[in-house]
Amino acid sequence: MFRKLTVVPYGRMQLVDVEAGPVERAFGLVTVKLHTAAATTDAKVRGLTPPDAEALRDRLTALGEAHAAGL
Amino acid sequence: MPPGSEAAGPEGAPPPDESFRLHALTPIALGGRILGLVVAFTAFGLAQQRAAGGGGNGWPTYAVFGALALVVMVRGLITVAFTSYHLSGGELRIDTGMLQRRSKRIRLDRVQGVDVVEPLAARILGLAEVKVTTAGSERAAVRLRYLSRPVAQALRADMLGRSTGVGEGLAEAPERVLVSVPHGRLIGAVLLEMASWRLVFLLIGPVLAVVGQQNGHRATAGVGIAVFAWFAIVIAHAIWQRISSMWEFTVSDSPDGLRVRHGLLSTTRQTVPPGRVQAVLIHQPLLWRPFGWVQVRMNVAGYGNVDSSKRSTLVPVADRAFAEALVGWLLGGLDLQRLPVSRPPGRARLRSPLWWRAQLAGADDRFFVARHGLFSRTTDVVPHQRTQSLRLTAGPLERALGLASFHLDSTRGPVRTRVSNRDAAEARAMLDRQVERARAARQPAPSVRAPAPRST
Repeated sequence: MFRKLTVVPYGRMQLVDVEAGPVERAFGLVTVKLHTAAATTDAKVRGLTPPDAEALRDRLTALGEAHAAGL
Repeated sequence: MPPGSEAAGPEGAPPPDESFRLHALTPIALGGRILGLVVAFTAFGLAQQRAAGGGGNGWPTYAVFGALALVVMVRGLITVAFTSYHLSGGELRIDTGMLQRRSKRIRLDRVQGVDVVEPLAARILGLAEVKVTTAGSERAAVRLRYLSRPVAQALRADMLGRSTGVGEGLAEAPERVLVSVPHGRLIGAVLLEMASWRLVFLLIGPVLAVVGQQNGHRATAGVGIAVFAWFAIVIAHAIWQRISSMWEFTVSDSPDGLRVRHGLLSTTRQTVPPGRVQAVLIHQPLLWRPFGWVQVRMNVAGYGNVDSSKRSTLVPVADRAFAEALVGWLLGGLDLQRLPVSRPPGRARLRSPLWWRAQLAGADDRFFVARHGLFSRTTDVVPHQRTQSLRLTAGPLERALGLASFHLDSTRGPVRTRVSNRDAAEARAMLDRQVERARAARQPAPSVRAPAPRST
């Protein structure tokens, strides 16, 4: 129904969250969430398995450091 | 972790650590409002008693107020006794807390803005608050309440000198006034801005009163009058707030940043170091159009949403030509008149009947510009290198029409750029191009400061 596409430049990421709500936990899944200095940024990758999420988080963190651009 | 255990900054040997304390009159300034209330109530009560000829009935009330004032004073004293701040190298350190010690450090090169605020009570006592804003939440801001006015100004100058890398221990940098808003224009502008559809609320009361009167319902008439009085007070209060906070509004340029000064009873002096403005909007309420006035507001990281209308105002009212020149200069080489913009496709009228024609957007190699509003007009400007993230959204109606909306996210503030009702493919192309432009713009480029425009 509602479609959304979000682009976050690596250099703009302030932090990467890995979180899991109760429903996700029951299915053994987690969500990776990207935060920038903008409150309106809403970038989430839902339904990952924990190892995938950790790999994604580590890759994103590494890329973020490589492209760090401050504000 | 003991304070000072981190290595010194890259400048080499750290200068001797200076430690300062808050001003001794701080408790009075902090409790200013409550103390004022206590004094006023006591005086009022005593006068009434004298008029009534004795009788000590009011004393419990005074005791409560007195206790309240005492608590406020003691809290203030504790704050003063257990707060100290240090400026060393490129860092500001603040130690607070009686039982739970807390040491906060701020890297001055990360400072987004420094404000010197003088609320009425503090102003009477010759005190000022220094508020240091960093990127992050509103809570991340540091407030030094209160310092004596000269100390506050010296601290601000010193911090800004260090933060922009000009030097340490500097005196106040010279400033050049760019615009100063005349009183008459401010009052007129605020009144016209408030005179919007909201005034319809003022009619509710009189209509009720008349209807009540004609039908013999005295209660309804009374309610009508009360409703009218209530809305009148609310509107008058809003007008007063806006005029008093924007009074004597002055924008100046100085080597350590853009200076904004305003306030009638409480004054605020804001400084935004160069390159800290994330996005800007130029807004024109409907009734300002005959005068050609506009207002300019900005996003600065860390200013947040709290009292944002006060802090994020760059100019409350100015001529459009000057405002555009100011924004162009501030962001570095923007010419709003020449920037090409496009309009949504005609089928967008099914979603936004009249407004679709006003939803313009465009970009050049450095800025993204979006215009919207049929009656009140707004122009958003976001430099590519300040883009935080990009989004494309499409709800059910938009998808049925083959449309999509493009959002450009900036830091928290008044500028929220959204380009609605674009052809889905066009919106996607816009997003892809914007990704490229933002990537190119993030590559560091030498910055040159051009001479600032001045209002005549």
